[in-house]
Amino acid sequence: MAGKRVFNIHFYADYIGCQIFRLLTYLNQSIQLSLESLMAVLNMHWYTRPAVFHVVVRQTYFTGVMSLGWIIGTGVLVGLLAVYSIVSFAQQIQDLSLIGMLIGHVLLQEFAPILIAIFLLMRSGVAVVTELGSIQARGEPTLLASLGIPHVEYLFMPRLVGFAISGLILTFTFAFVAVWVGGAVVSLTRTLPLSEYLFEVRSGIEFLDIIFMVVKGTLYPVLSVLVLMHQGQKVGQDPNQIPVRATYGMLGALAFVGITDLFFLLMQGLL
Amino acid sequence: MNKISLLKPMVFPAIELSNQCYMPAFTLHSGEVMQLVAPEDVQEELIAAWLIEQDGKQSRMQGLGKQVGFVLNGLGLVANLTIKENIMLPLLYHKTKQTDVAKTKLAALVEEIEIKDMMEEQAGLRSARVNSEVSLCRCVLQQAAYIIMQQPQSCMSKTEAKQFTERMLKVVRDLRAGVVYLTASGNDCGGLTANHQVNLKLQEKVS
Repeated sequence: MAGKRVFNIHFYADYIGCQIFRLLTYLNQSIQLSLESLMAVLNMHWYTRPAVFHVVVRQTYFTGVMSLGWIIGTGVLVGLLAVYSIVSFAQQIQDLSLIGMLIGHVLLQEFAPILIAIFLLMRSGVAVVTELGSIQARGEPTLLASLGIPHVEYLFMPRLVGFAISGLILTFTFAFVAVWVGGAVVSLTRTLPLSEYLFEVRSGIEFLDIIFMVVKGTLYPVLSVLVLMHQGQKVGQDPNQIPVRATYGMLGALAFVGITDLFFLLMQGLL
Repeated sequence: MNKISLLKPMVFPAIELSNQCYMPAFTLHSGEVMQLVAPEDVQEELIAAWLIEQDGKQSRMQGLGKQVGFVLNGLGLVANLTIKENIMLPLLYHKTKQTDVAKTKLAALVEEIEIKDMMEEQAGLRSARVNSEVSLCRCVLQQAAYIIMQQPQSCMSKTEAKQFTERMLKVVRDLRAGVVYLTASGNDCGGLTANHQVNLKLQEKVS
């Protein structure tokens, strides 16, 4: 009886130990890949190497430029719905100073970065894991190494830069379109004169709102792509792992962005 | 091209491989051919050991993409680049004075080989012949002083293998390159004449 209890204790201890070890290994690999990619960005060698610079441009084009139409369309929709609702709400409670505050806090600081991160995940997230997974399965990292090209610099760094630049530009575009379209709508529907709307927006939006929008708009896509790249790398030689890793990558990136946003909220609460 | 003869001989370090195989250290001079006989899994392990250090950092072999060229079996193309970009890839990455010369040389080079029609096409998945031809073109453009080959003619038809062998011998002769030829069979040296042979299974130098 006592022997069985000892066996059970050992079994659970072994299980918990294995899970912790797996988690630590995963974190270690993720951090290592992130640091290597960030170092490759910061050392700026990519800027002087046509082969790598070409990939950076291509990644930025596919991730950012090709999404512009969608983001402008979404910005118009959000401008129509959200800004109009905010203005109507402020008018109902007869406090127009809420317009700028709500647009700054909710639309610019929270909604825009999260929406862009989710949009980039949906549009380019699966592509990143699938492409990197196929590259791993075909053995291209070995080929790149034989050509003297570090695979972190050629495969991972361009995606990181592409997502960072695209995230920042798309967040700005989205916010700009939403605020101006919103202004046009409230003015055309005679809800509020455009000059008054602009005055409220200008006086209500704080500099910190813009700073948070820039930081979050860049950080969330970067964090997403780091998770996605790590999952893509884990495909190894087995192409059957590609869909599995794509699912893990998408869910992991989404969770990571959510947790980071919660962290920001807590930090803001403390400040 | 004749600068190659002034280059120092290349020293390959001893490597302990799993499967109880041991590759002894050897020195390769330009123009020499070293035949390494090993099963395919050992070949893969050896290539990985040359290219990637134990901790996953970059390689222990100096001059990759500059002085050392590779013609690996079925592994010569990055799928999302065109054939032309694939050939120029190491030169575009390392960006030396040689790069501009190579661009003009490439035009003349592709006239000789049978892949000129597909130069602007995306590589995707191609035959073993195209993979080997592209790798060989890279060696020519980068003026490789040493070439590591892994059974490049396998998976080719007899005619293709014959044409490729002729081209490969010409390239090796013109470059006066030292060649390490990885093969599973001691009788196969891809048409080259081996100066030395090491059998990784037997762990002894035969000659």
